[in-house]
Amino acid sequence: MQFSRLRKAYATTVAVDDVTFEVRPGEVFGLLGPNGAGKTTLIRMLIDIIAPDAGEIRFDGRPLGRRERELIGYLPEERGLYRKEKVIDILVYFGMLKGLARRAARERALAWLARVDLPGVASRRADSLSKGMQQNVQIAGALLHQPEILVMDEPFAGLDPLNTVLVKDLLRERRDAGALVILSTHQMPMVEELCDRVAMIDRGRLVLYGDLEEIRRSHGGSAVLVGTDADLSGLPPVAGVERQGALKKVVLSAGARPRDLMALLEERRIPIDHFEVARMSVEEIFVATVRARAADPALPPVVAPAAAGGGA
Amino acid sequence: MSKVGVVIGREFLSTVKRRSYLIVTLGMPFFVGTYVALVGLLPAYFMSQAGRSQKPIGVVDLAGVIRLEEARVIGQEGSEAGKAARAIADRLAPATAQGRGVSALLDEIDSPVEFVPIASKEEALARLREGTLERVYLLPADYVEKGAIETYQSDGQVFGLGKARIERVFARLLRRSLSAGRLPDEVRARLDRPIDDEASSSFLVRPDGAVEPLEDAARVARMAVPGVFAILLVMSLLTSASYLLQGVVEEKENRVIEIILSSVPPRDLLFGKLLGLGAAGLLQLFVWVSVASFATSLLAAAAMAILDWKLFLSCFLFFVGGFLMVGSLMTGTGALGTNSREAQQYSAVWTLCLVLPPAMTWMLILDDPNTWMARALGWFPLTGPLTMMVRLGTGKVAAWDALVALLCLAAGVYLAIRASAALFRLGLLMYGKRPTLSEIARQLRHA
Repeated sequence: MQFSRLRKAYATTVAVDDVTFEVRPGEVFGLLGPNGAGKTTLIRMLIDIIAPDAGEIRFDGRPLGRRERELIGYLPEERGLYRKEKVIDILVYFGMLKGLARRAARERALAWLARVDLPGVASRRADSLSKGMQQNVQIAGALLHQPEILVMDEPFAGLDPLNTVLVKDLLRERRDAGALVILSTHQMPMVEELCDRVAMIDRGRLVLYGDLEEIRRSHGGSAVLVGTDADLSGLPPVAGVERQGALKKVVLSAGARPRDLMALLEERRIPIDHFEVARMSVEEIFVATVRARAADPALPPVVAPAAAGGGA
Repeated sequence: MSKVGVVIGREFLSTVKRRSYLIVTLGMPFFVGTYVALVGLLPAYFMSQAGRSQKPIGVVDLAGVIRLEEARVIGQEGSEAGKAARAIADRLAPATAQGRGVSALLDEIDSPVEFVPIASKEEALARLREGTLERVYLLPADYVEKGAIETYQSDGQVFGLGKARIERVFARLLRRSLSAGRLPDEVRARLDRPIDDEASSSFLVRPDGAVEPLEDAARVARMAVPGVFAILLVMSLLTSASYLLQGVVEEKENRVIEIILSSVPPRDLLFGKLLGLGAAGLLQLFVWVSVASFATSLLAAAAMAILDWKLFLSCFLFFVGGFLMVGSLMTGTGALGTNSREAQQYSAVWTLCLVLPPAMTWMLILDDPNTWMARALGWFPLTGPLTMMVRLGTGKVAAWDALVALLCLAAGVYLAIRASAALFRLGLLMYGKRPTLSEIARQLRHA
């Protein structure tokens, strides 16, 4: 699925500005960004609720149309159910809107309710269910027609640990079945655990894009973990030192590389028993990227090498 | 099944299965029936009881004018209005319990009037005080010369439906008595009833000089078809409006709308809602009209009067067009509201646009359905449906004229659905906030 030079402006703001990236089948793709970055607008353009001012989205080489729309399973961030209706009726309706026949929709609805640990709620009204149960019903509704494109906006919000594991399993299942899974979330540990590749949007622009491992690797050179009793804070390539368990986390100054510090330690014969290039967490990368953009909005996007075929 | 079909089915079924819908739909005839019984039939019953117990009218004839044999004959005759009302009841509901009920009621109200001659004023007033007389008419000795009479009645008898009738009957008694023996019988009969409506006839003179019988009944019957459609259009919009707006706002309030829009384009969703919820509203209307037995009889009478299928078809097309036009506009603007109350406020304007101009001009249109004003209102899509029904009812509108109005309405429906879908799309995604005018204008431009 190619997002090509997408742009969407509202009355006074540009919500999405010249964004280009690609999502591949069989991967979980993380769509990240701070609040108000333009993620929801991007998703709404994908599911054709709003039309882009410029650019286009293509799936399998074709522009998204009615046929492709039926392949999408969508769990929006703003979500709910018809409160006064039976769960089974709601799911059958959702299934039929995705092109299933009534009987097939009913059978699948019952199967999916069992899959999300809600086998006995089919005849209950939606407003008689707990919030967590309602969320599971919504997830069942999004997966009912075995979508080839699955778009989930904050699917873990409000879930208990058991249901969180369940949803993670479901996402992996769809990915393993060859579906294209787009996950938008602020929960960075979930991104680290589930996503193969990510795109980060900030103020409508793509600021970070590519293979998650590559991104972490490319952000990994700015700090090292050193096992030593010596005071390292005065060394030229060192911007700061903080204790991290038995080790010291040394944050390097701008332009300095881990090998510069290693050479200096050898040269000054400072004894060490551990030297490791620190891997930044996704959360740290997220925060560092947003702060860097805030300081200098003109910075070009960071595109990890493995993001072939896309990028701004 | 198409997406629109799925939406129609869901909207219709989920609405008609609601407890509130069933209560309103089935409970309304019961409520109205009870209300009519209490407010309408009970007073009528008591009135009839009053009529039955009506006391005699005393006549003190100092002028020597009254002929008692005339008083006996006239007092037994019912009024013309009573006869007409009974004839209508017999025609509309000939063999039904309701028809028999109305006839019986009219018999009671239209009961005979008994005149009693009394020798003196004193005796008459004494009997009035005793309560054995309803009222007393006194004809002074110089009545023939001056025409003045005196009327006496007790307290509490000043008004009442019976009073006017008694006065009419007494005036007739005077006419008949004064002319007795002075004029030939046939002249007396004519004086009593100068125009016999049943024997009279009217004619229509065409511009080409042709003279045709003027059949008022046929003209009324012809107007009945557009009239029924016009009433149905307004009523169906009023009954469907609440369901349409509730259906639109419900998805917004329940946060289901994004899931739905990920499967159905806004225009299809709008159309499906319009037809599904509109059908629920029409079903309700149908139940009400059917259950109301008087209305059933009226419809049957109107159906019998339908001889012109072209007129029926034209009215039906304007009905459907009008419903789609106003219904879609109501739904589109209703979606801009943040809750049901706001949605109803926004959408009410369209019903007014549909009804007000024709309601203010229909008398003029009936007089001449081909004036520039009648034509403009007929061709303008929003006022067209009702105006054209009135115009078509006159039978004086050319086929090309009706066709232009129909094409204008079709174009209007198309534009209304496009614009409404754009507003619908804009309104549905705005949770808890109202779109600005510039946002609305921008969305309409894109439509």
